[in-house]
Amino acid sequence: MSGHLSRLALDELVVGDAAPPPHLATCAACQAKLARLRDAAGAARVAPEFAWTRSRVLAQHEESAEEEAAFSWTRWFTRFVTPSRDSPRKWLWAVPLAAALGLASVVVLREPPDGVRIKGGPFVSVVRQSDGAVDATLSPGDVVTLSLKAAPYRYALVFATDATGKVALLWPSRGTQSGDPAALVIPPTFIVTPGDFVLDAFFSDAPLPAEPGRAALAIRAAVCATRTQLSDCQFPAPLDGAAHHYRLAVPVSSGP
Amino acid sequence: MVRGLGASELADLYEKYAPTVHGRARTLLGRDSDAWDAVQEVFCRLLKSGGAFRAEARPMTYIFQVTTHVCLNMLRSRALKDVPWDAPDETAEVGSDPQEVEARNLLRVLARELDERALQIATLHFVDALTQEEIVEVVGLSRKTVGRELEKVRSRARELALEPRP
Repeated sequence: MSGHLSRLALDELVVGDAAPPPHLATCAACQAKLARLRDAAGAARVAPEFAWTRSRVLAQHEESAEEEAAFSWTRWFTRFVTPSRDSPRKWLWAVPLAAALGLASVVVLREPPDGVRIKGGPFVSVVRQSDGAVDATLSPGDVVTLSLKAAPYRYALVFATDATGKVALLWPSRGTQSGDPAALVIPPTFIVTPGDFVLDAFFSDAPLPAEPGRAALAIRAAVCATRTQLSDCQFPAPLDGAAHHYRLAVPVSSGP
Repeated sequence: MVRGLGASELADLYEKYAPTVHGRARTLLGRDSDAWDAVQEVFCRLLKSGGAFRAEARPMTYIFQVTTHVCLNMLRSRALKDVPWDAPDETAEVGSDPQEVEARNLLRVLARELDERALQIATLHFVDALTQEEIVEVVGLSRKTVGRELEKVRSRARELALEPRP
């Protein structure tokens, strides 16, 4: 070690969390570095991005508070459907319920509001190959490419829910868990079939199993179809282990 | 159940720590816009883990850990997609500190070479000049494990002739 103050120690001095150590009084290099960090912090504070980012963080706080207040289908599903050691038969009653929900899922899924994209945040987009249109209204037969940005997370899992409420794993197309989009060599390409669809992308730092997400979305789709208020369905289904969820509604026109 | 952060608590933490989070993210990522994206992500993670944050004796160690994690994920994602490892860092904006550019170049190479834990430790050691005790505190691993990982990353940096100037 050089004996100079580390970045951690300097940052603590910048925010006033620590008292200056004796080394600082005698080290011109550390004093200069501290002065540079203080200047940079001062500049960051008056930059317009400082206020914009604060607004987005606080908006996220509000959204989280609303989600907390909402019913979590994933937690419900995990609690009652996953077998546990102490009560191995507890989940058996859910089988007929799941079958009933499967039948109910033929009811048309109402289109949710369009996803709100925060600049730079993880998202999924649909790009039409013929003209490069992004997230545009598509037509049956259109060839589209899935554009997936996971950063700052590493893994992504994308499901498509069709107008009948049927949920399918869209990406990774093979396998049973989320994949690393950075390892993609060729972007995934699809041909659009008739009927609107919704993409749900879940982002995480560690791979997520696909099945709980598919099941939670299928249940949610079935439940949403029975609700009369649009607001009942406006929150994305929280998925255990997922750090971020992005939803994109893709309209498909009836003509070719 | 641990209570999450309240809106005013989160706003206060943002006022106090966001500029330093931005400064460090800027050092690691090189681009101002990426650094603000990282700031947003760090505070969203703090929001989700409010109780863990409150339990920290040194709040900056927790913020340091989360910032490192977020930035390295962004860096690793970029490293896999970007230009070959020996190409110059064209993502750096004009006016970058030469030492910061050197640190970023080192990280870009190591991001392809090391696993997540080793990369985190390499960052704290080479870029942030943390002592071994500070690294132990930030990453929450045993001193022995940190020592072993440090040896591994130093050895790899030597093999690649990348160990930065003392």
